Amino acid sequence: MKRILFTQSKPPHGSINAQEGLDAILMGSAFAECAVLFQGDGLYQLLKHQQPDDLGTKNFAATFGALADYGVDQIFCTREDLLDRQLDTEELVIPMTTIRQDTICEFISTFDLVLDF
Amino acid sequence: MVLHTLNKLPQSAAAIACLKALTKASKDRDALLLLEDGVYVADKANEALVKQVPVRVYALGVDLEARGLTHRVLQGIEVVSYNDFVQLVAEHKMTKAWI
Amino acid sequence: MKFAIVVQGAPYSHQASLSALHFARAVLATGHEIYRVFFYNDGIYNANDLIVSPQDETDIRVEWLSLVEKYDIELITCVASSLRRGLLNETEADRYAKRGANLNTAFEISGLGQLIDAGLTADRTVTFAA
Repeated sequence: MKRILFTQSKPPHGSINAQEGLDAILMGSAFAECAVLFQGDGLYQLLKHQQPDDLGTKNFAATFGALADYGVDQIFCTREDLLDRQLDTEELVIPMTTIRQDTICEFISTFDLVLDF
Repeated sequence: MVLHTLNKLPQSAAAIACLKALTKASKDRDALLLLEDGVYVADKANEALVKQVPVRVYALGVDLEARGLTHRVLQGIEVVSYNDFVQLVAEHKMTKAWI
Repeated sequence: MKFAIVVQGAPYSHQASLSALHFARAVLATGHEIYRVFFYNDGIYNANDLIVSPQDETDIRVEWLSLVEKYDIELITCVASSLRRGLLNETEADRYAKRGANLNTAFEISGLGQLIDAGLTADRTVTFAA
């Protein structure tokens, strides 16, 4: 089965990009083995305690918990992106595998397809 | 082999992340194509940034010309056409867009 | 080779659409095939039939139309992205009781599965985003 890497690089709520990226991941899970790399500010999508109700955007972070049910349990980010933002994996809504920034290019090359959001 | 495309300005989050990642890329495996606003990375003012990247760097000619950058392109960066872009995509297993 | 092209930028607001057009033409000019062009996020605005381009500017609407007329390529917009941005075909316009449809009929509105299928079926996939 082909392996797709989805990259999520946008923070939530400021634009719909993050949410539409997640929709693509969920659709992808029906067709192939999928992994997700949260890059840079894309990490903020996973921050716990988001409360967008008063703002009026969708609380799509709640959906990340269902990714594993869709068979998407390969979730990655770089250690450096966490450190740059003073984030701990404990602050994120789903378990995360951290990789080193200097292995990113090699990591990407192990997939069959990369879709960027 | 991965072709990386960058269409954002040199100081953008995407460009910083892309160039940082590529400092540890392999010349045999990766290449970088600059297009749209990403061609500003090819400007001579960004020599220090580009020097850190060990892979082949290409820049789309039409984007350079549109922006008046043709005479400011760093030596070592190969100016390419859209037909060349297609060829580069064909030669690499995957194309990753840094957006 | 078969190429899939993903467009995530609105025409004029960002260069993504124009780059995708140039790339698509180059794919065809160099003897390759376009499996599908999938429009997502703001890319769906490329399918707006109501685009009126200033006379001295590139007419994006005409450009996509001519590619389809000449090469019969498939242009698909994501239904969810389209609806929330107000791009509707006749079926959706009726379904949601809107006063009219505005989809350029060179395009087709379909599901996100078409994006995944394109990526998995084509030999190469390239994304143009804002």
